[in-house]
Amino acid sequence: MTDDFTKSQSRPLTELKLGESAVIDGLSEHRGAISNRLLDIGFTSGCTVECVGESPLGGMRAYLVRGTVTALRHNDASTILCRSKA
Amino acid sequence: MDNEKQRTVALAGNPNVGKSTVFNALTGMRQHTGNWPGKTVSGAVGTVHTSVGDISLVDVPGAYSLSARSPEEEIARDYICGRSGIGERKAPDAVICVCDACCLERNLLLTLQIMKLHRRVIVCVNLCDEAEKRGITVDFSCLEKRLGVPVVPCAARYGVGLEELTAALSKILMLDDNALPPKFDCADIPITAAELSRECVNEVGDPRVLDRRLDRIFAGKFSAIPVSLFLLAAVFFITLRAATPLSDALSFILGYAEAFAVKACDLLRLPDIVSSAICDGILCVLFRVISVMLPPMAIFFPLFTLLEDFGYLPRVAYTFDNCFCKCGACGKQALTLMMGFGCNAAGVTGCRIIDSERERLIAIITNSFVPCNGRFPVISALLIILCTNLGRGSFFHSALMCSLTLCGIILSLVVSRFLSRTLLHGTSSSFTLELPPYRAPQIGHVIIRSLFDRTVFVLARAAAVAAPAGLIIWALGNISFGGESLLSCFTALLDPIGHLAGMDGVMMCAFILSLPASEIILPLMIMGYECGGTMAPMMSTASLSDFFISHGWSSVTAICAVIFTLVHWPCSTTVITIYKETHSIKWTAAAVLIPTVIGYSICVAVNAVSHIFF
Repeated sequence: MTDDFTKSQSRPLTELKLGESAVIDGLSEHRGAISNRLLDIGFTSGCTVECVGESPLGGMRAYLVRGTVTALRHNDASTILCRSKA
Repeated sequence: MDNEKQRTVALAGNPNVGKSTVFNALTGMRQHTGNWPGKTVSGAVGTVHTSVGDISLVDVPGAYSLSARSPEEEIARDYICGRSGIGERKAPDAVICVCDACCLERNLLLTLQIMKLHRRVIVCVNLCDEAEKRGITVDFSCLEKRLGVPVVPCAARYGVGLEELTAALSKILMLDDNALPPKFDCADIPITAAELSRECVNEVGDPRVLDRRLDRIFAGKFSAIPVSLFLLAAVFFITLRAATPLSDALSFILGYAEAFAVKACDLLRLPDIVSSAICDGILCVLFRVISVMLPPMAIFFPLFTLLEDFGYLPRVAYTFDNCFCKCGACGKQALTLMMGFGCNAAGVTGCRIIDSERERLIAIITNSFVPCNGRFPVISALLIILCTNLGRGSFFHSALMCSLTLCGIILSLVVSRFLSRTLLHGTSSSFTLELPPYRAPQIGHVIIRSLFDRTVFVLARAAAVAAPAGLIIWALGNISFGGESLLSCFTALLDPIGHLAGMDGVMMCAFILSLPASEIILPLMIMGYECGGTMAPMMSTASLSDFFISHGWSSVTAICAVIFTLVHWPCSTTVITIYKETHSIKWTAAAVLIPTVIGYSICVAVNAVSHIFF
């Protein structure tokens, strides 16, 4: 089924809808300092992430991970891969 | 004192978990605290009295990990692990790991890293009161068993759990090396943290339900910008409305104090020259600085601290990040700009929260475009003169004040954009911005702390500068050189420069002499116009405008004075801070020259336009 297929697909965090939850798969590429920081604050594989808001002027979205809300620019969030909860 | 035996304990933890609050509660010190990550930028040291003697406690800047990927994290790692070589630092005898009970899982990431390196660790789970309100319960005995180190629940704001923390500290310091548990070992820290959190933390319902609601207002798609503008306007309106009568009352009282000082000098039979130097020089400027500065500061600082404690500031950075991104700057620059409203020097120091070197320089250089608390009352007083001149009321005045501040912010953005296209070429880099949970500010605490810690501090600094500056300008006015006072020679010299920008020599002279503290611009102008003659009496804001008008001020003069007050060189404290932060004469010079040139050019343009049209 196509629905199951898309569910198991890895996609960047930026494709999450507002209010949608997913499980982090890992980073698609390692971009040095920012990737390390993302891992430090808990964007590690297996962790649940929820998109909780979007900046009114765009460019940034807020993600809830491990009980903390962190705002990320799209450029950085796009390196994080996630898949929908089974 | 036996320094060898004084034990050191490091207080570590993620940013914004209340380390400084715990530190203050344990040491009785008054480090400034606020609800946003990165508030503490350098490690403060204090003393804790315990049953095993005095211990020096180090408040380590917040860090997310010990991998030392940013300057603060490097500092944090040095404090926690010690460092050999240059600037050698002994590893602390113990580490207190402060965690936020509301998001224990993420806090455990750092805690576990520290526990892998250190055997004497105490985990202090702070903000338990907050967690309870959110329906989060932590099983502390389970956590203690799993971690194998003491776990102390705390609500440091209310002093809960601090005795237990001190007791645990004494106990762990007394333990023999052999009696210590082995260093914690786990294969994968993120997985272990998630496991621990699953076992020991219980959440009932959605703990963030209130935050979600508040974020819909303060960071919502349609409401965020109007709300931020409204808050800015409200803060200014309240400050200005409440400050004017207070200022008038203060100048009335200080007028008596001045008359009393003159009488006292007479009674003491001081020589005329000395009593004149004291009364017409030092006291004149000092009292005017106090009456102009104290009321707005005493109102502004508590208001700002309330917003800070509430957790609003990071939301502003979040809302306006795209503006900063388009200007090649970091979104956190919004935070440092807001700190600049309080004091530009503090804003410049705050730029340490920006990781990228290039973006930090941009933030430092453009910080002085927002009016600090020193220039704020000056601009307000000048605008009152303008409004009286134009026959407009206080609402017009507040609106002008707000739009002027917005102009300052926009100018700061424009200059940021210019810098990232030229001198500091580059595009905006990556960063993460934590949006902390909203916390109800402790109103009484905030008012007292901000009054005593910030207001008195800034006022004392201004007063320390105002007294000698008053003496200098008095001397300039009273030392004659071939029939003309030095001051009039000096102002005559500056007259053409001033006239070109719609001002005059006295005003330029006041701007130059107020380099140590912008607060004294107005008193210096008054003294300059009175130039060695009789003292101008203490004036209310209304009579101030008559005074300036009688010295040839037009609306254009007032407008140019306002613009130049908003945009000119930063005060000397800020300049020194910029040098300390950048270690570069070149960038310090840029931070001085860029606003000076821009401010002067705008004044020249305004003056030219006014001559063409009027």
